Amino acid sequence: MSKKKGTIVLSTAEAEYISVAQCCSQLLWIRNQLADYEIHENNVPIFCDNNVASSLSKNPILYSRAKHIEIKNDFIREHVQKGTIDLQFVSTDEQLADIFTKPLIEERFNYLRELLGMILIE
Amino acid sequence: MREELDQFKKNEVWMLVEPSTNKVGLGVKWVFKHKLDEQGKVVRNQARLMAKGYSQKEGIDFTETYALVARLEAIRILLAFATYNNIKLFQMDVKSAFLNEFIKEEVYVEQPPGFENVDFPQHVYKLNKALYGLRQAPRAWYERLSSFLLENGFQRGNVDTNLFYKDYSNEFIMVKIYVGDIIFGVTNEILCKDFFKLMQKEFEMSTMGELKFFLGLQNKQTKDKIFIHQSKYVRELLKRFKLDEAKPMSTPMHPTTSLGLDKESNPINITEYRQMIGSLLYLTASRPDIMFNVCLCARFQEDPREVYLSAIKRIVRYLKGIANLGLCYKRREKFKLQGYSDVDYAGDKVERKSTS
Repeated sequence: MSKKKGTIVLSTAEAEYISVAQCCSQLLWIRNQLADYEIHENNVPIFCDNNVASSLSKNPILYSRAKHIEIKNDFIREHVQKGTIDLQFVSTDEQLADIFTKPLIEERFNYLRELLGMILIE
Repeated sequence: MREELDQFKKNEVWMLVEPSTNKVGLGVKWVFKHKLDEQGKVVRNQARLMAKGYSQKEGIDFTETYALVARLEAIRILLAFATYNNIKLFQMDVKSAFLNEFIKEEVYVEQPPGFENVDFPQHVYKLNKALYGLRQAPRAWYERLSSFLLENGFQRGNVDTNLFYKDYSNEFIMVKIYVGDIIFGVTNEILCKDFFKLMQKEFEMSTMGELKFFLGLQNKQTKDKIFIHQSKYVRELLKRFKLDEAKPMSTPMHPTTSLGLDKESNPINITEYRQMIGSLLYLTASRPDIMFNVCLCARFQEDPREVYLSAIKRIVRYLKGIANLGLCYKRREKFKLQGYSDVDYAGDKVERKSTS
């Protein structure tokens, strides 16, 4: 899903952190749905191309640089600690979600489109 | 229309009663529809008598409403699960689903236009069963179907109440309901026939076959893959927007485009703009590649201008170039759930908010 955020942020890390939190709630919905199919997933990886955001979610310390971030976004921390979600780093080149955030040049667009599992049907 | 009224008689949908002050009839009207298959050929013509449910009042005509639809995302999860387990998917359709249902409230309707009773033109019909368009119709249908499935040893999903499943020692069957349409997956063809027979005994089913065309999504199943695509819908869309002659593009948006608030550009017809957005949003079910661009344009629905319209036209022209693209679910060793998350920083020119 491509969505505009509701708040203005001060840093890219904060933006990533908020977006990871929202991604997390989406994944939890899917995870819930999968429970009906007798599939119980744990440590669902979220790939994020920002290191600061992932350390923020793993470390339950309040930093002065991040103390203004709304508390609702911290629920990702809880899920990382519980082991339902696992935040992992991915380089920007392999970041699939890039296609949902900005217009891309043709080459990269086609590459990511294929990674999404989209193919031509005869 | 005859066919529909015959159905009414067969199911004892209503009876004629004398009108009085507290038995005011709801209006009814005929709605005609051609049912198309995936090639766009007419399969059957359908006339449906609809109650004007919008004039019903809560507490008087109905007490509770309920709609039973599966989310498209939930259907995609089912597809992924089916490929993983090598399940074949089938679909079937319940004929006049809502006419099967008893309703609790007393509801009266007028006589259908063109088919008035000559002897009692002023009489109204008292409904025994639900009619299309009635506010409580979907709920009544869901209750009937779910209790029928539960009686027959099916279990309801704890999270998704549209999902039912039944285990046999090594085999299983799962059923997903979308109002009158039912998708089901089985591990074994014999189970599939048994299930169809079981349903046929209780309801009137019209068709059954491999999952091919469901909610406008075209499906194709091979041994270890399932494709979903909407190429028929894309072609219709091109025709509707009169862009079927336009020059195709290779990407949905120029890489340096940034749409911002533009008060200079000429305002355009708001309804038309919203229709375009609406149909493109529906297309994102099988075309995640245009998700960002459509969502971006959708943010300007409040005050559409020419610049945004040309951005949309570019998306449509991109679709023209590559109409046959679809999502493919491949069979893998392990079922894995992964999430990707990314944002741009203050990419939005209007309020400096980020996109993810």
